[in-house]
Amino acid sequence: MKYRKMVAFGLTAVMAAGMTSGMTMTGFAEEDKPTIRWVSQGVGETGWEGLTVPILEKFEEETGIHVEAEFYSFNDLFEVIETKCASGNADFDVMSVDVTYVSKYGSSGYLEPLDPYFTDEDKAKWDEASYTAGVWEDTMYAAPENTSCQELYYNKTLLEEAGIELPENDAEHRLTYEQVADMAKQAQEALDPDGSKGIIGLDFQQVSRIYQMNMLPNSMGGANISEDGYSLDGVVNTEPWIKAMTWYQGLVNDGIASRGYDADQLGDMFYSGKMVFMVGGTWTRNGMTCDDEIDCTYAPCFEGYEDKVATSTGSWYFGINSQSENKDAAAEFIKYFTLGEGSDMWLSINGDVPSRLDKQEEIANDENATKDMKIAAYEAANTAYPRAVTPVFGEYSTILDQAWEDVRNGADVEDTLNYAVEQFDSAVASYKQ
Amino acid sequence: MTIKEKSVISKIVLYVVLFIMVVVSLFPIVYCLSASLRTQEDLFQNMFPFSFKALIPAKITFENYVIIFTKYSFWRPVLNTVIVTVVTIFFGCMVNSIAGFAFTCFEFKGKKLLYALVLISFMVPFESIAIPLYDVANKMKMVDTYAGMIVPAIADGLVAFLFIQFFKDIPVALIEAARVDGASWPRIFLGIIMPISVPIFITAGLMIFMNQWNSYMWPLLVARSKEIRTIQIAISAFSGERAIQWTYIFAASLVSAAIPICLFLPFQKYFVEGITAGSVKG
Amino acid sequence: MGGIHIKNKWLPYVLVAPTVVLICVFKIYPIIISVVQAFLSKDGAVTLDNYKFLFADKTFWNSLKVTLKFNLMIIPIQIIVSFIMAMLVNTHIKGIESIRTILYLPFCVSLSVSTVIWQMLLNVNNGVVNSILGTFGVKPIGFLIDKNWALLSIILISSWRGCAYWMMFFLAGLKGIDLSVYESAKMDGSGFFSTLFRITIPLLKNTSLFVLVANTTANFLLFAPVQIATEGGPQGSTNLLMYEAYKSAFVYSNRQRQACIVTILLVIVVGICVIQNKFMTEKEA
Repeated sequence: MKYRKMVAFGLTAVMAAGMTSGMTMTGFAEEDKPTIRWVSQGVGETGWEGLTVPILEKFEEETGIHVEAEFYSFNDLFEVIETKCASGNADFDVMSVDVTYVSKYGSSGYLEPLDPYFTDEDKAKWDEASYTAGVWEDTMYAAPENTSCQELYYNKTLLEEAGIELPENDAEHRLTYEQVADMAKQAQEALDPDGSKGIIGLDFQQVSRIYQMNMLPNSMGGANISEDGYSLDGVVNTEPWIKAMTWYQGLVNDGIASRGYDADQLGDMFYSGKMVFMVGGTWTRNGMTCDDEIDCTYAPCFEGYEDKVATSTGSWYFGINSQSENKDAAAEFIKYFTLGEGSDMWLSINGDVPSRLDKQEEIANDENATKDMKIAAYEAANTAYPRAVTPVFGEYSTILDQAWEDVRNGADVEDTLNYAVEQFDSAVASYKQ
Repeated sequence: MTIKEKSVISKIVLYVVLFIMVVVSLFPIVYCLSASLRTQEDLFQNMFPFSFKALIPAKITFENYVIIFTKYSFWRPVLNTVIVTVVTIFFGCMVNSIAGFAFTCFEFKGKKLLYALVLISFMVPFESIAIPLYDVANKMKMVDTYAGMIVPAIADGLVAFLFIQFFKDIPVALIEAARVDGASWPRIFLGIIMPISVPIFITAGLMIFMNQWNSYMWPLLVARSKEIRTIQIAISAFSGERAIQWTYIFAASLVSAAIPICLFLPFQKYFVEGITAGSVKG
Repeated sequence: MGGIHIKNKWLPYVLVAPTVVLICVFKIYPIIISVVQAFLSKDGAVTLDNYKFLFADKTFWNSLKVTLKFNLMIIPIQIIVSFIMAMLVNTHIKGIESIRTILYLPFCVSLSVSTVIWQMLLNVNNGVVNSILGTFGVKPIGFLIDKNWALLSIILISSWRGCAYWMMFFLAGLKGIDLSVYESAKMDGSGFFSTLFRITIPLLKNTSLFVLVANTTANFLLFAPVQIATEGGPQGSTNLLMYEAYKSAFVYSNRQRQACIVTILLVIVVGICVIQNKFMTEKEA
C-alpha cells in the first residue's frame, strides 16, 4: 500500500538524516593532544575570528593543545552562552565573557572559579579595576583580556571650518563638559545655522547605554549601585545623578546632542562627518569613513567636580565553563591569552587598551605610541571607574539604559530615576531570598 | 449615474487604492535597495535630513554585494539555507498534510487530545522552549548538523492546522463518490485531495519556506560550525560590537529576499488558475 | 469534507503518528519542561513564589496592559487590511498579476531587516515619513521615541510585513470559492456588499478561523520589532510581555520568571482561540 510506504519512507529518512549527520559531528581528540572549544564573538576576517588565528596557532605549537573556536556576532553571544549553560552543556570549555556578565555567570554556576589556576602574583599583574571586575564574592571567575577607555574625539575639519580653536588641555587641566557644549553649539551655529544639514554638536557613541552614560554621574561623584549590588535606592535618586541627567537632557533640548539615533547608528554620524564632538574610545579612530580629520583628547570633567573625573572601563574576559571536561587545558589557554605571549600578540594586533600594568607602563613610556593609546593608558591607570558589580546586571542595565533613553526623550528626570529605583527593587526581590 | 459610470468610478477607486498599496509596499524595499548600492559614508551623510539624495546614491557602487560574496562567502549560508529549507518543505508538507487528512476525515479515540496537542504546539514562543529543546537536540546528537535544523521543524502544528482548515472545505460528495467506487484511502488522498488542494500545498510550502528562511534563533544555537550556518546568522554577523556594516546588511537582505521572490513568481499561476475545490465535478 | 468522520481502527493513528511524535518530542516535551519551571524554586522545590514575585512587579502589569492594547489594535487591523488586500488582488483587472507580486514583496524581507528599514524611515530627524509630513506643515513626530506614537509605529512596522503574509491565506481561500457561486449571485441581482457578507465571508469560514487563530498567536508572541526599534521604551510604552519573557530568559537568566510569563501568555492565547472557535462554529449553526 502506497501510503504505508510513504509514511515508512518519511520516518526512516528523517531518522537516517538525524543519525548520519549526528555521527559526523564529534571530533575525535587524540589523548595526548586535547582539543578545547572556545566560544566567542566577532565574526569575519577583520573581527576576532581573523585576528586570533595566529595566536591560536602559536598556542598549539607551544602546548600541543588545539583550540576550536566558535565565533558569533556580539548580540548573539549572550543567547548562545545562556542556552548552552542553562541546559548544562559540556560541549565547550572556554567562553569570552563581557565584563558585566561575570558576576551573573559566577553566581549562576556557569563559570568555574579560577583561583586554583592563578597565583596572587599572576593576579597582581593586572590593574586593580580590571582584576576586581572578574571577581564575585571573593572568587575570581574570569581573567581580563584587555580593557577599554573613554576619550573625547572631535572633528578637526569641522572645527576649523567653524573657526573654533580648542583650548589647551591635559590630564590635569581637562576641558569641562560645559566648555565642550558651548563650543559644540558655536560650531553648529556656524556650520548649520538652520539645522538643515543635521549636524550634531556633542554626543556619546554608546548613547543610552550605561557603559558610557554612567560616566556622567560618576564624574560628579555618583556611584553605580549599592555596596551589596541589590539596590539603587540612595544611589541613583541622588544629587549627582539628578544633576548629570538634567545637564544631559538640557544638552538634548538645546539641540546640541541628538535624539532618535541609537547607539548602533550614532557612531556612523561622527564617522561620516556629521558630528563635531563625540565621547568614544580607542576603537573610534578606525571607524572613520569620510575624509575629515579627527583628533582626540582627555575625557572632560564637570565644572566644580575637577577632582572627580571618572571614565568608563571594562571589556572582555575569559572564563571556564563549569561543565567543561578539559579545565586544565582551558586554564592554560586563558593564562596564555591574558598574561602570556598570546596576550602580547593580542595587544599588538588588536590595539585595545591593556589590563596588564607592565603593558600600560610600556605605552606611557613609549614615544611612538599614539596619542589615543597614551590617553587610554593614563585613564586606565588613574580614572577608570568600574562598572556596577551585581548578579542582576541584566535587570540593572535594562532599567537604567531605558532611564537614560527616556530622559533623552524628555521624561522628567526625578520621576524617571525614582521609577528606576522602584523597578529595580521589584526585579531583584526574587533574588534576595 | 448609469451603471457604466458607476463601474468606471469603482474601477478608478480600485486603481487608486491599489496604487497606494503598491507604493507603501514598495517604498521601503526601494530604500533598502538604494542603501545597498552606496557606501556607508554616503548612506549616513545623505540619509537625514531626507531628500532625493537619500534615495539616489551619489555614486552607485556594487562593492557591498562583491564584499559579502567574496570576503564573507555569503553563498555558503545561502546554499545551506536552501538545503535546510527544501528538505523541510518536502517532509513538512508530506507529514503535516497526512496528519491533517486524518484529523479531518477520521473519527478515532483520543483525537481531541491529539488535536489539542497540535494546536498548543504553535502557541508557545520558540524562545521559551529553546533551552530544553537544545538539550533534546544535544542528546539526539543533532547539534551542529543539518538534521538539527530540519527535523524539529518538520512537524509544525500551524501547518497541520492550515491543512485541516482547508481540507474541511472539500465537498463531502467528492469523497463519498470515490468511496462508493471502491477507491482506497491512499488513492483518495493522492488522487482526489492532493490535486484539488494544490493552492494549499503551495501556501503550506511557502509558509514552511519563510519560517525556515527567516529562522534565526534555532540555527544560531544548533549550527555552530561556520560550514552549516544559515542566512540570517550570516547577516547578523555584520553587526559587530562597536560598528554595524549597515550597507552589507541591506545588500545581504536583498539577496536573501530575492530568492523567495523568484519562487513566488512561478507559483503565481497556480494561485490564479489553481484547480479549485468546486470546479472539480465528482 | 468536514462532515465525513470515518471510523477505522488503526489507520488514523498511523497517519497522525509522524506529526504527533515529532511534535511531542520537539515541542510538547520542551513546553512541559518550561511550564514546570514556573512552579519550581531555584533549588527545585515546588512553589508559587515565582508568580508571587511576578504579580508584585509593576513592570509585569504595565507590560500586560501594553500587550492587550497592542493586540486589540493589531489583530483587527491586520485581518481587515489583509482581507481587503486579498479581495482587491482577487479582481480581474489589467496588470493585477504584477500588483499581486508587489504586494507579496514585504513578506520576503525578514522582520528584523524590515524593522531596521522602517526605523530609518520613521526617524524623528527628518526621516522620510517626517519629511513628507513636513511638506504639509506637520512638525516632526517622534514615531519611535514618543510614548504616544511608539506602539502605533510598532503596529505599522509589523503590519507592513504581516498583512502581505495573511493576505496569502485569504487569497488561497478566495481561490477555493467556485466562480459559479458569484455568477448565480450576480444573476439574482445581489450587490457587492450583500455578496460579500452573504456569500464570500461565510464561504471563507474555515480560512478565517485559521487566519484568526494563527494571527492571534503570532501577534501575542511577536517582539522582534520592539527588541530592535524601541527596546520596550519610551517609558515602557512598547514593552510587550513576550519581550519581557525573552529578557527574563536571555538577559536576566531568570528562567522561572520567563516560564511564568509564557504560561500566562499561553493561557491568554488559548482562551482567545477557544472563544474564536466557539464564535465561528456557532455562526454556522
